[in-house]
Amino acid sequence: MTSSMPGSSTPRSASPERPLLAIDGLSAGYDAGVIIEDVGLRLGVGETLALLGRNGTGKTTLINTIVGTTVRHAGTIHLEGIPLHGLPSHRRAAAGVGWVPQERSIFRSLSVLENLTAVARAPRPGQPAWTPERVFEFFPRLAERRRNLGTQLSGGEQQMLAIGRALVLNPRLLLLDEPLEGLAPIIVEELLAAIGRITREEGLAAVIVEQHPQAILAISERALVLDQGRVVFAGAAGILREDPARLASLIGLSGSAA
Amino acid sequence: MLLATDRSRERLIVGFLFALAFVVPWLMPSRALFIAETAGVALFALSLDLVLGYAGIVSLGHAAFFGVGAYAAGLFARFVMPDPLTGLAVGIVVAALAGLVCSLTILRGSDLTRIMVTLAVSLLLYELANRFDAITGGADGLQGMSMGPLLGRFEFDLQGQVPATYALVVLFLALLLVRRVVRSPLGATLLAVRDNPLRAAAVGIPVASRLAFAYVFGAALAGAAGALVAQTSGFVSLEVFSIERSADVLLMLVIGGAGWVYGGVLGAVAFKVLNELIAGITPQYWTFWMGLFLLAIGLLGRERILRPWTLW
Repeated sequence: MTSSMPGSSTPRSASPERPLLAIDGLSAGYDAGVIIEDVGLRLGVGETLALLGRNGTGKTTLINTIVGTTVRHAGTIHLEGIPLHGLPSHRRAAAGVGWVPQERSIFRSLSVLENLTAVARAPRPGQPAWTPERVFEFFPRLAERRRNLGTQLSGGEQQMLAIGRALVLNPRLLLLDEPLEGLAPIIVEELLAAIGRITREEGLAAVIVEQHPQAILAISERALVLDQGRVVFAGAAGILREDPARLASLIGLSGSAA
Repeated sequence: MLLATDRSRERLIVGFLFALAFVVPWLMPSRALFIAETAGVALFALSLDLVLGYAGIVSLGHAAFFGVGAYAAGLFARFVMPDPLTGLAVGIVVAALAGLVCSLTILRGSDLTRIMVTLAVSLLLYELANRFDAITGGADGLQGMSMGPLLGRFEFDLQGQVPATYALVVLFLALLLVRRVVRSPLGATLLAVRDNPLRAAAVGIPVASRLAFAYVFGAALAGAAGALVAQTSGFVSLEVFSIERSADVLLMLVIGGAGWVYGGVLGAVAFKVLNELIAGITPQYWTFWMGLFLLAIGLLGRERILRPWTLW
C-alpha cells in the first residue's frame, strides 16, 4: 500500500480504475521556476488526503496548481476524468474544485451572506446540496454575522466563511490549505470537528495541507509527503499515524512529531 | 455593507432630492433645462459607477458611450423618426453594442492599459464624428433634430418642463434597476472581482464575463444618458466625446462616492449645483473654486462634507 511511485493507486480507493482525482507527472511553479516536480497522486471518492511536508516544499504550490493559479510546466490533472489542467480557474471550480486558500481571502467589500451567494452553484445530482442557509446551520457563528462585512470577522470565523464559500460551490473535491493556521486551540477543535463532519458524513473528498500533522492524520485515510517539491511518501495515513519516528524524519520535525 | 438605518436615511435623502427635482421645473420653469441636463449627467455618472465603482474597471474614456448614445439618438430623431422613447432605445442599443466591441479591449491588461485604451476609443470617435461632418454636422454640431411628443401625448416644450420630467423618470428607473443588480448575487460577484480578480476566478467566478457584463451594462446606461441629453437639449456637439466630459463624470463619481449606488447621482447633483452657483458669481474662475472644493474633499474626506449623517 505504501508507494512513492507517482501515479500508483491504492486498494483503499473505492474505484481504483476511475479515481476522483488523478494527478500525473505534475511539474509547476511560478513564472519560469519549478517548485513541484513530477508529482503524482490518486484520490478516491470520499477520501481525505493529508498533504504534509516541511515549510517551502511545495504543498501550497500543489494546491494552487490544482486550482489553476500557478504556471504548469508538465503533467496532467483529472477530476472525474475531466482534464482540469487546460481549464481556466473558474471552470475548474465549476468542474468541482472547492478551494479554501491559505490566507482565506474573504472578499472584503461583501457581507458574509454575499460572500456565499456570489459563488453559490446548483447542487450536483446524488450529492447533498450545500446552500448558504445550510452553511449557516453548519456554522451558527456565521449566521449571527451574516450581515457583517467579511473583514469584520475573527480569524476562525473567516476560516469558516472560506470553507462555507467552497462548500456552496457544491464541489466534488475540497482543497484546504492550512485551515488551522494561526487559530486559537478551541477554534482549532471546532474546525477540526467540522472538517471531519464534512468529509466523513457528507462523503466529500478533501486534500488538507497542515503544518501540524497529527490532527489532520487523525481524520485522513491517505497521506502524501512532499520534500523539495517531490513525493517522498504516499500511502495510508495510518502508517504515519502509528509511526511518529518515520513521520518526524519525513517532515523534519526533530522529536516533536506529536 | 451599510446598516439598515443608514440605508433608510440614504433612501430618504435621495427620495427628497428626486421629489424636489420633479417639482422644480413646474414651480421655476427657468430651471427646467438645468434639471433635465443634471438628470442626464447623473445617469452618466451612475453608469460609470457600475463600471468603475463596482467592477473596478478604470476608464478615462467613458464619454465614448455617452457620445455614441447622443449621436445615435440625435441622428435617429433627425433622419428616421422623432419619437423620443424609440430614440432612447436606439441610443441604448447602439451604445451597448459599442460597449460589447470595446469590452474586448478591457479584458486584457492592467489599469494603466485600460486608461489608455478607453481614452483612445473616445479620441477615435471624436475624430470620426469630426471627419464625417456630412452626417454629424462636424464641429458645428448636429442640429435640426425635432422631438415628437412623449408617448404620443406630451409635447417637448421649449421651457423644458416635459423634457425634465422625462429625464428624471428615466434616471429614476435606471437607478432602481442598477440598485437591484448591484445588490443581487451578480452584483456581489462584481465586487468580488474588483477586490481580487485572481481569487474570484479560483473560487468559481467567471471574471471575464462579469467584467464584460459590467462594461456593456455601463455602456448602455451611458448611451441612455447621452440620448437623454441630446433629446432634451435638441443638439449634439463633438464635445460629447471630449476628454473633459470623461474627466467631469469621473470627478462627479469621486465626489459622490464610487462603489455606492447613489454616489454617481449625488456627485452629479453636487457638481452641477456648485457649477451653477459659482458660475453665477464668478463665471471666469469657476474651475478655481471647483478645484478648491475637490481639495477640501480630498483633505477632509467626502463623508464629512456630503454625508454628514454618517458622523453621528
